[in-house]
Amino acid sequence: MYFNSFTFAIFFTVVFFVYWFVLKRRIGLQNIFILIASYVFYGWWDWRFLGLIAFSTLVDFLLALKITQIKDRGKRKLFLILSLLVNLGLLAVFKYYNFFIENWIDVWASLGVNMSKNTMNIILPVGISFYTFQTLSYTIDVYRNKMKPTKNLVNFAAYVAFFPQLVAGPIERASHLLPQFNKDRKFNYSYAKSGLYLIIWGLFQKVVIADSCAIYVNDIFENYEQYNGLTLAIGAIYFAFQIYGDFAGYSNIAIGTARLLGFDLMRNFNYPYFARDIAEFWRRWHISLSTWFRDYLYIPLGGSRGSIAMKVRNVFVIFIVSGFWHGANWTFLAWGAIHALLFLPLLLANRNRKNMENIKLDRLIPSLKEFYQITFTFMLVTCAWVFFRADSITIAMDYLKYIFIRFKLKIEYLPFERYSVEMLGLIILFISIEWIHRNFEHPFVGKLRWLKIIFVLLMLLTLGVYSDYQEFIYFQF
Amino acid sequence: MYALDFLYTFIYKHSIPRNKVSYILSQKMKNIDYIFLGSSRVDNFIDSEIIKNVTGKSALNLGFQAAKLDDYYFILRLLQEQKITSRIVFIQIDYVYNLDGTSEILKSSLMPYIYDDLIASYIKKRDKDFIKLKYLPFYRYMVYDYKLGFRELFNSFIQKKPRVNLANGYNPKYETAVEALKSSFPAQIINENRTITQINYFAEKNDIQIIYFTSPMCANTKNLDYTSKLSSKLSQYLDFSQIFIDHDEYFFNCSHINDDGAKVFSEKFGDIIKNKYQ
Repeated sequence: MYFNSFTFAIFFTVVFFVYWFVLKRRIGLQNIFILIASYVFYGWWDWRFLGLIAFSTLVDFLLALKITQIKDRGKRKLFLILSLLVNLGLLAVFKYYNFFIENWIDVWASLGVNMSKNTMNIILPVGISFYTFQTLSYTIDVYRNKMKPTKNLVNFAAYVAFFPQLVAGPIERASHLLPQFNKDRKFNYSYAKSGLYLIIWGLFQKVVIADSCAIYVNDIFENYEQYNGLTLAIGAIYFAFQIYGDFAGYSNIAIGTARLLGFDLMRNFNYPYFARDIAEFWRRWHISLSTWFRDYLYIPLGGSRGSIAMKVRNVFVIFIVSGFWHGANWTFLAWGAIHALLFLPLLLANRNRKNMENIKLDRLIPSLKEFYQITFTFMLVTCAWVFFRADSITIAMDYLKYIFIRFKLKIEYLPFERYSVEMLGLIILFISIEWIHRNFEHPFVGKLRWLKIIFVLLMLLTLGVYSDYQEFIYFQF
Repeated sequence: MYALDFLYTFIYKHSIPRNKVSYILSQKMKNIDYIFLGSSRVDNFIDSEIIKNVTGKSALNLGFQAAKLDDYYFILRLLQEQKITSRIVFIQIDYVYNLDGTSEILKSSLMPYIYDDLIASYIKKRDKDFIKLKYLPFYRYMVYDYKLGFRELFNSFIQKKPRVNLANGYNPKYETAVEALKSSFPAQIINENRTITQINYFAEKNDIQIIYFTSPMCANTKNLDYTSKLSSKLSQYLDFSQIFIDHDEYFFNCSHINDDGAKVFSEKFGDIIKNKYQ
């Protein structure tokens, strides 16, 4: 069940009315209902996934309780390790098993030893990387005494499976989301309205920007050997906006949907393409994942403290693991490694926390320096995205190479009857809207907000892609 | 939604024709000597201008990308409804003999005219979403946004001429194949194709001469003898499948010729029409 589907519209309408009008103020029943709705939502993909999420939920619920009951530090650690093994084990089996087996066989094959391929036909459960990280953070926080474990299994299960953010985040910390299941929820009109605005904006980002770009991206990346450098460069830019529109769009719909049910989810994107350096980019892109890695991996490893060698190691570990989190493919590892290489000079020069504040908000146009910094950062990020999108590292290298050696200032007409540059107009409009509203979470603010809403709704209807359905990219992770 | 639906329909119906369906609907009481019906293997293959020059008679390419026999039959009936007559209708046939189905591209072109009875009955039989397409305002334009979206609306509004000259109907492919050519025909032919029977019956009833033909394929096509099986099923049949087996340079891919190939093919076809059917 996808957010941008008719089925979800019906599903959510029913959930919304039952939740607020039938079960109003009965928090226990509301939580049970959220849990049931979430399992229906998740089971819609494949009911077999439900067993997995239920198992993961139960294990962490019990282990967290056990960790608090025990005083002995060694034993506590043992239960934490058990939780890590179960959660990471699930990920290892369902997400990485075939990758490791294939590469293991390839290594031996390169040494002249042929082994039979014992790969398994495994279906990757949707959203496994997201909810696994969510449950992991819970047991780690309990172990660190940062929060007390819940004794309410329904609330905990509802937190793990909360359908607005179940399949693609934001990856919520238990300390933020779980207590909300214990609080009485009243329907708040202005809060719900802000949720609705986020949903509209998220749909625009997904259906108009990301899905329109996807048509170009799919063709250009699949036939990259045929196109000139200009088309390839444009293809890379389109992918940058496809993945941003897709993921930020999903996150906004998720946050908006949660708000309609009275829940607050953390912000996941903060206009990342206006970042002035890579460090700032990572403070604005997929915030829930980058802060997760910061808190549960980077800082425990020593963070930016210690010798230069330690700093370098920590940066590479966090970025490569982040790349690997996205999928079992060398391209994702390369993408992570590239970001590590881009981030490292800033860290070593102690400039990684230079651009902490927003670009001056009282100016409509950035200064030349800011413009250069933003453009340069965007170009670096876009080059890295080529690795993320390409089928292999070799293809990504060729793609980038062809941008330069085949560069021609000629606009190509693509086989699906569009000029390569046609989407640029829409992207410039999108950037302008985001730039003007960069201090807000969506553009529907100010006196003209109704006009803006009508304009965006019209664009949704007339410029949205409905014929060539594109799944949310991050569902595969 | 109603307003958008009205606006889109109005613009599509009142702009210059930008696809073959709107071109047919803009013509009435017209005689075209030779009409070519088929899929991309007509659309990219027949230059009507060359046929006209060779035969001295008018010709029109009505090939639609991915069209099937059912679509050809529909176009025949649409032509009749528009009172567009023809001396001979040439229908491209090959592996489509074994296939059912319809062309989404043809169907998309029909959406602005969904309230026309013939068009409505065609869509109704072939699309389970017919009710939504017809009665949910603007739904038809959203579902077919790729062909009837804002871009096409804008081009229609500014009366931009289409890339294809619709009076000719030929849609050339300019590139030459760079990869190894490879394709295949089915190993077996089905016993009977009901649509062919319907087309033949319709032609007989309306006094239309139908000639079936197979367009050229590259040399590396498996089961090329399929055309002899086709020949046994069809009384009037021309087989061009092997005329370019020594000319890979004429192919865009194994089942589609490029502009150079199409020019040569159209000349050959024109010669045959001139010598055999005039």
